[in-house]
Amino acid sequence: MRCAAERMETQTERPARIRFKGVGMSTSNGNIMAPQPSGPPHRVRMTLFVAGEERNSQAARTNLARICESHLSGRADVEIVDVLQDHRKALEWRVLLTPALLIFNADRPTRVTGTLQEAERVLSAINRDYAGSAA
Amino acid sequence: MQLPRVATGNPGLDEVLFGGLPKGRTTLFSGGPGCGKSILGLEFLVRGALAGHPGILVPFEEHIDAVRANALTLGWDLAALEKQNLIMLVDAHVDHEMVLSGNFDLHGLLGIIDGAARFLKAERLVLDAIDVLLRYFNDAAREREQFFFLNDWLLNRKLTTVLTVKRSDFGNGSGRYEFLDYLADCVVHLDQRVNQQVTTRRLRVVKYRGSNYGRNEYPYVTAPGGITVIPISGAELRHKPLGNPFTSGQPQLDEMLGGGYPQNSCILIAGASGTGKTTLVSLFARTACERGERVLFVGFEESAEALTGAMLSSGTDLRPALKAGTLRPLTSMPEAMGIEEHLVRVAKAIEEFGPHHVVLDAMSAVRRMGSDRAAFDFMVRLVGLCREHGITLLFTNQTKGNEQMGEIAGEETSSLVDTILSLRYIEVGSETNRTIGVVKSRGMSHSNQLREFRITDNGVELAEVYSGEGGVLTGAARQEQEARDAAERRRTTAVVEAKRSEIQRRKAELEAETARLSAAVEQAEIELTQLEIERNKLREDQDTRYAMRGGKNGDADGATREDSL
Repeated sequence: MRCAAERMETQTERPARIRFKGVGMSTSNGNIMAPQPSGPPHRVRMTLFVAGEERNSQAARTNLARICESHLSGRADVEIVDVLQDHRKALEWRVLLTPALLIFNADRPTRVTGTLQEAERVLSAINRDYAGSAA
Repeated sequence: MQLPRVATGNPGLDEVLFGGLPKGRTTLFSGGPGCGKSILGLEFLVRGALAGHPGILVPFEEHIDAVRANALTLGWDLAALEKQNLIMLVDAHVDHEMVLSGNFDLHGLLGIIDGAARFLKAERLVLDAIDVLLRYFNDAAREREQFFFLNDWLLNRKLTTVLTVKRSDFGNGSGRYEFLDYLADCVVHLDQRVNQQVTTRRLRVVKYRGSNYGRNEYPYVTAPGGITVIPISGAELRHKPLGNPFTSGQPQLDEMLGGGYPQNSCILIAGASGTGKTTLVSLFARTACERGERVLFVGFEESAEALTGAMLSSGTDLRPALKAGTLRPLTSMPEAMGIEEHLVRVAKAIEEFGPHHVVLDAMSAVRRMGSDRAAFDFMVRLVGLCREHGITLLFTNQTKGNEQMGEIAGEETSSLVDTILSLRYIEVGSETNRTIGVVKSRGMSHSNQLREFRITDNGVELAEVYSGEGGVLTGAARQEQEARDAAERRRTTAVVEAKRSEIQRRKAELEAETARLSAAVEQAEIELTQLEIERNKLREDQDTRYAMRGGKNGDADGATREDSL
């Protein structure tokens, strides 16, 4: 059940930068707030499951890029999986509802389902995840 | 034009659905918790898989390990089918701790189903507890929109799909998932209800777009091997005609019945408690078993041991038949389960054992399965089952007293049976005796007379009853009457004898008189002869004297002499 974590390991010691696989991602344009100290100090590994160019999935990509840029600058590794292309991965992680963000690092991944439009919710999930892994 | 159908592989359900589920369409199984909708969905996949049609199961509520374990208890080895790529279980158990942020949709699920369907070349899909997934949309409009979307996608994909949904709000129109009924092409409601403390289960096809289907409520049960639906439709057409009669085990009763109980007929023996109903059916069972025929004894009143013991006292020994295996008891408490489970037990036993005859004791106990209606349902289906298999069915019904015809059989049941025997008590003087009569016997010439029915240590005896001016008499009264009759007979005989001897006596007198008279006549004749001799002698003397006087005036003298004599 933890197969995806292996793929993430290679990225652990890389320099801080956002990595998006599969689908290209445009950076945020509207949010020019200064980076906030709300993200965890360590690197964050995440997988975003999307369904092609479907509306909610596009919104999630945009929102996640913005959150990474403004709160996790340089500390996030993000893999993007298109469930319409790679159903096995969706099956493996039981991704029925899309878009969905899986945050790895703790014993159990935390899941955020939706377009990720509320940055605070996503960040609090990342922090909870960190708290979980520290415990 | 009828839609093409996909057989579910469940014989009863397929019969109710007139062949199966609509091919490439969506069918909804809905019902309350524990009604068996998931099992029915699973059965659709398993039976399909066993017939070589791959399918996908997506359980939203249960873990797939639990699904596998549950399936095993029903006798289905999912792991083996998974290995052969005939079934795929999609772990769709929703992560309850997930955080929701913004809008989302079902594309993940569709991507998974699409990929799995391609891999398996699947034709069948079951989405178990779709309501669990839809609930995450937490808004009626969004739920509806997502379901529309899902349904469209499934139709395009041409998968024959079963959705199960939890609900218990049939008919009142207020259900959250009522809209599913409108969208699906075929809707089956499963209903589990408790009627007088007995759980009964009913299945009903609510709609089947563009197609006909069985419109009644059908009882069903969950048991190893899956759900058994008990359809009633069309059963009449497969009924076999009545065959030759089998002996009842009592020659005089056979005579009353016009030969016995006809093969493939349904015989009801009704009577109050203790009138000898069980004795009669046991007698039949023993006799049939002695001929080597198989008898299934469905008992709701007592255990097989208790029955065997009780029957011994009336000279009916069922033990050899039990030992030989020709008599199979199937006993249970009526309250133990709903009618559908009782029915399925009997149906399975009939299938396995292949009996020539079924004996059921007693229909009155069947009422304890829930209601009169339940008892009727049970009997209708049992009678149908027996007729289909060419089985003679004998059943007893306990009436409360000497009741009217309608009550003997239960209003509706009487039309089902071919023969009704009525056992009654008759109180005469200070004792109670039993009578037996044939109330009805379809297609047989039977006696319309009552007989006295006696249960002795040596078995059952039937006696001619006294039927005279005083009506039917039994027991001591009958014996008294018989004594009176005998006395009368004796008296009559004596009178005849007396008359006969009188005649003889008179004949003798007549003969004696005749003898006496003829003797007198003889005597007179003798005397006459004597007198004639004397007269002749006298005449000779006169003639001699006349001749001596010269023979004058001989003629005149002679005439005068003649006159003077």
